[in-house]
Amino acid sequence: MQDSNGNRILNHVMTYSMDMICTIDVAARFIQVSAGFSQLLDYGREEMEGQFVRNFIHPDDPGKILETPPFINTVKSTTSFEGCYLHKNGQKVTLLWSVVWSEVEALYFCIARDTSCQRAAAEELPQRKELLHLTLAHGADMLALLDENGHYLYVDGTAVENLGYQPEQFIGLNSFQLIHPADLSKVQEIFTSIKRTQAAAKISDFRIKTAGGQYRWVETTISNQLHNPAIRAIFISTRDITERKEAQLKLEQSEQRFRSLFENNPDIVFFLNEAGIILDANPAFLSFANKQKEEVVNYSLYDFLPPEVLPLIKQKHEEAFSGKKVCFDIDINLENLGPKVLSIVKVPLVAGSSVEALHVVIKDITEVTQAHRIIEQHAQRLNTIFESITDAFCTLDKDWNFTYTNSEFDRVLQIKRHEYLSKNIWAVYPEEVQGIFYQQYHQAIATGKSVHFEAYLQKCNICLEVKAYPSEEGLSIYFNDITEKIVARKELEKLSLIANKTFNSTIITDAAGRAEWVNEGFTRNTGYTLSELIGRKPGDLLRGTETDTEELRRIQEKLKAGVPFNSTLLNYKKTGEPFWVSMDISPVFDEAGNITQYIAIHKDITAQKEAEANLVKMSRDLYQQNRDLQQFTYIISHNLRAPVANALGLSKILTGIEKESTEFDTSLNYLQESIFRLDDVLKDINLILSVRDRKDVIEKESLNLAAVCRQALEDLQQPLRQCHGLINLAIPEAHQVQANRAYIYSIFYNLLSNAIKYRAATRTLQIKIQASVNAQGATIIQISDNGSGFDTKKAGDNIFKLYKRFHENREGKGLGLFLVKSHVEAMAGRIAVASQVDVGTTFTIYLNE
Amino acid sequence: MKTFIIDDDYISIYLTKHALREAGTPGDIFSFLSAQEALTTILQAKPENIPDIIFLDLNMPGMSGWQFLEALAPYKNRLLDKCQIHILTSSLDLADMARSEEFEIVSGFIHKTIDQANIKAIIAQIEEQAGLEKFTAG
Repeated sequence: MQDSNGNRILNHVMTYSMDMICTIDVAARFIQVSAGFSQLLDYGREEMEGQFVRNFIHPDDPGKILETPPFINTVKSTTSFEGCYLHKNGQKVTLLWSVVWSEVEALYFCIARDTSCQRAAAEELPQRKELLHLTLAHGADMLALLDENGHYLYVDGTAVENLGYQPEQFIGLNSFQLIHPADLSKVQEIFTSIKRTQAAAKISDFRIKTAGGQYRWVETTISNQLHNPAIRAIFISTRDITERKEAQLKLEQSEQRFRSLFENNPDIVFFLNEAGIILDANPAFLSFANKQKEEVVNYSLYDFLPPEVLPLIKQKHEEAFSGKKVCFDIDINLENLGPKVLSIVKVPLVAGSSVEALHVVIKDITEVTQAHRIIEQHAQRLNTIFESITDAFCTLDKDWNFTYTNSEFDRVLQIKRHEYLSKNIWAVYPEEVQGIFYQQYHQAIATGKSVHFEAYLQKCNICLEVKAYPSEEGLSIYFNDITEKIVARKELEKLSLIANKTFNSTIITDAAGRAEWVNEGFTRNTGYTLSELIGRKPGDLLRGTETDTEELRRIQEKLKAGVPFNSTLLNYKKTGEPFWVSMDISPVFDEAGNITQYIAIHKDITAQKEAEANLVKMSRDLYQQNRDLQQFTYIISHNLRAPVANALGLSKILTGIEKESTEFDTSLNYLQESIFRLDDVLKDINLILSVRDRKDVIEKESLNLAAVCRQALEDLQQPLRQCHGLINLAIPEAHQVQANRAYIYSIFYNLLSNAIKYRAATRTLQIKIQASVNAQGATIIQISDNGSGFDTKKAGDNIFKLYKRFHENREGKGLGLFLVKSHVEAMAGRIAVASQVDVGTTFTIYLNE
Repeated sequence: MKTFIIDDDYISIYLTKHALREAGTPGDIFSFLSAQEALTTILQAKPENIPDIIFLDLNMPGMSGWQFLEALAPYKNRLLDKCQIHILTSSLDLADMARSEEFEIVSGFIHKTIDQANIKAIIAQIEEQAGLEKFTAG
C-alpha cells in the first residue's frame, strides 16, 4: 500500500511537476519521464518512456554520461553533470543533471534543470574575443553571425560596403533573402547540415544580392558556433569572389565553346598521345568511323588505318610531337569506306616545355579533291587536245595579244614562249603589219567569218597555210609549214612537164600497182592510151608469152620490199609486137613511211638488146675464129713443120753422103715422101679454109639422103670389098633433107671410111646407116659400126679436133672428123659420138633443128 | 750407154738415128713408133737397162708425148739420176716448151731436126756426170 501510495504520489509529481524528473534503469532506458521533461524536449511522455537515453542525447554532449550503460559504475552516488539533449526540432538543450542511484528500485532517479539561459549569459563575454579569433582564422571580407534560422545577428567587414549596405541594415534580416534564387537550395542544404553536424563547412560560389539589386559572387565558410558559449550563433565568413568567379565563368564559357567546337565540329577532331592512342574523339570522328566512342577511345589510331599509310602517318605524328604543327593530305583506302582523300592537321598541345598530346583535325576532302582532279584532268585534256593538234595553234585576244599556243607553234616559228606570250602579235611580227596575215586576221575579226589562206612569213622565211576562226574571245589560229609542199609542188610541175614530154614511158601507179597516170610517151611506145590503162596493172597488158617469169617474180619482190630498182623485161605492144624495156621503178612514200605510189619509167631498149644479141653472136664467131686460128697455129707449128723439118734434115744428109749408097736412096725416098706430106697438109689447109669461108654462102638443096649415101658407099667399094664389110643402109628412100650435097657426101664418106679404117681385126665389119625425122622436124642420121671403138673419156673434147688421132699404127692424120664436124656445123647442125672400146662407135648427126 | 727414140714418124726416127751415129753416140739406139710401147719397156726394164737418153716426140696418135711424161712422173725418182729425157719436136709452139718445163724429168727441148752439136753437148754432159760419179765413188 505504501508502495502504491508512493507510486501514486510519484505519478502525480511526474505528471504535474514542471521540473524535469526521470528514472533510468540499468540498461539506460527511461522508465518514467516527468511531463516537464518531455515538454522541454517537445516529446510526449509515452514517446520517451522505455526508450534508450542515448536516443535523446545531443552529439555535442561533452560527457555522454547517460548515453550508454552502465554509467552506474561512474555514478554510484548522487552526481551532478551537464548534458546536452536534443529538442524534437533538433536544437540542443543543455541540462544540468542530479542523479541518485536507488539500490532498492535498481533505478537512477534524475532531476534536471534547464541551464540554456545561464549558458547564453555566460557566453556573452568571450564572444568578441572569439569573433576576432575566427576572423583571423578565416581571413574574410565579411563576417556575420546568424541565429539558428539564418537571421543576421551581427555583420562586419570590408565587403559590407561593397555590397552597398550599412552593417545595421542586415540585423534582423534573414540571410537567405539575399541569396540568388538559383543558389538558395544549395546554401540552405548546407546551412541545415551545419546545424546538425556542428562542423565547419564551406559554401562555395553563390550569389548575394547587393543593395543595388545586382549579385556578387561570394564564398562562405560557415561554422556552427551555437554551442560555443562565447558566441552562440552561426558564424559565417564570406569572401567576395566575383572577379575570380567571373574569370572562371569566362574560362568555363570558353571551355564550353571549345567543347562545343569539338563536339559539333563537322571535321573529324581527336586527341592523340605520343603512343598514338586516341584520348578523345568527336562525334564527327565516330560517325566517320561508324563506331561508338568506347570503341575508339583508348585504342591506337593505327589500328584503324590500312598498313600502307602507317609510315607516313607515324612520321607526321613524330614531327608534330617535336612541337611543330603539321598539315598534309593523304590518299587512303579505308575498309568499308573505300578510297578517300584526307587533309590532316596535327597540332601539338604544349604544356610547359613538353608536348602532351596532339590535336588532330581531319577533313574528308575526297570529293573536293576528286572535283579538283576532274578539273585538272579537263584542263590537261584540253591542253592535250591543243598539243595533239598537229597544226601549230595559237589564240589571240581582242587586243591581238597571244593568249595560248601549243608546242608545234614554237617549233614551226622557231620561237620561245616567253618571247611572245601576252604580247601583241604585231609587236612580235611588226613587218607583217598591213601584210597578208594582217589583212586576213582583221577581215576574220571584222566579218566574224573564218579565213583560210597561204602566206609567206618573212621573219621565219617560211610559207604557212593558215586557218583562223574568230570567236568572242578573239581569234583561234591553226597553221602549218607548207614551205616544202610549195617547193615540192613547183618541182612536181616541172617534173610532170618532163614526164609528159619525155620519149620514155612514164607510169604512176597507186600502192596496189594500178595505173593512175601514164604520159604521152607511154601511148606512143605501147599503143595503149591512158584511158585504156587507168585502174589496171600495166603488167597485165604488157606481158606476153616470152616475158621472163623469173624476172616478174623478182619485180614483185622488189615492189613489196619498197626499194627503187631496175628491171629489164620483154614487153608486148598493143599490136603484139615484142619490145625490150629497161624499167626504173621507185616507190613513193608518205610521211608515215607508207607506200602511196610507184613511179615507173620505161625505156625502149629493143635496139640495144638487138645490138647486144649481135655482140654475143659476134663474140661467138670470134671465139670460133680464135679456135680455128689456134688449130692453124698447131697445123703450122707441127703438121706443116714436121715434113719441112724432115725435108731439111734429109737434104742435109743427102749432101754429105755417097750418091750410090743405100742410105742415099732411103734418104731421097724419105725426102720425096716428106714433100708429099707437105703437099697433103697444104691441101688440107686449103680444104679447111674453103669449108670455113663458104660457111655463110653454102647452097642448100633438097637432097635424097639415101642417094647421097649410096654414092659415098660406091666410092668406098674397094676397101669395103677388101675387108668384106657388111652395110645396112636403112635410110628411107623418100627421106629428103634440105642440105648441101657436097657436105652431106663428105660426112658420109669420112664417117664410113673411118669405120673401115678402125674396124676390129677380129670380126667382120658391120655398118648400119639410118635416118629419121623427129617431132620437131629435124633429121637425125646415125652411122654405127662394130669396130675397135675408142675411150671417149680419154679422147675428151679432142675427138673432132684437127689432126687428132686416136689409133696408133693406123693410116690417118686426124682430118676426117674435123671435116665432118665443120660440114655439119656449116649446115647449122650438130654431131655427137658414142663409142666403147672393142664394141663399136655410133655417130649421130642432127640437121634442120 | 742406151738411147731411146720415141716418135711415130719413121722419117724423123731415121734422121735422129743418123744424127746420133754421125755424132758418135756410144751404145745402143732403140726406136719406138708408139709411146705406150716405150713406156712398157722402160717400166719393165732392170735398172741397168734403163736408157741414159730418151728423145721424145710430143704429137703422136694413141699415147702422146705428154701422156708418156705423165705416166712416168710417179717413177721420176727411179729415173732422175739414170735417165735424161729430151723432147724432140717439130712444134714451134712456145706453149709446148713452157709446158715441158713443168716436168722435172725433162732435161731439154730440141726443135727438129736435131743436129750434131745438140747431141755432142748432151753426151758430154752425161759423160761428165758419169765421171764425177766415178770420182766420188773412187
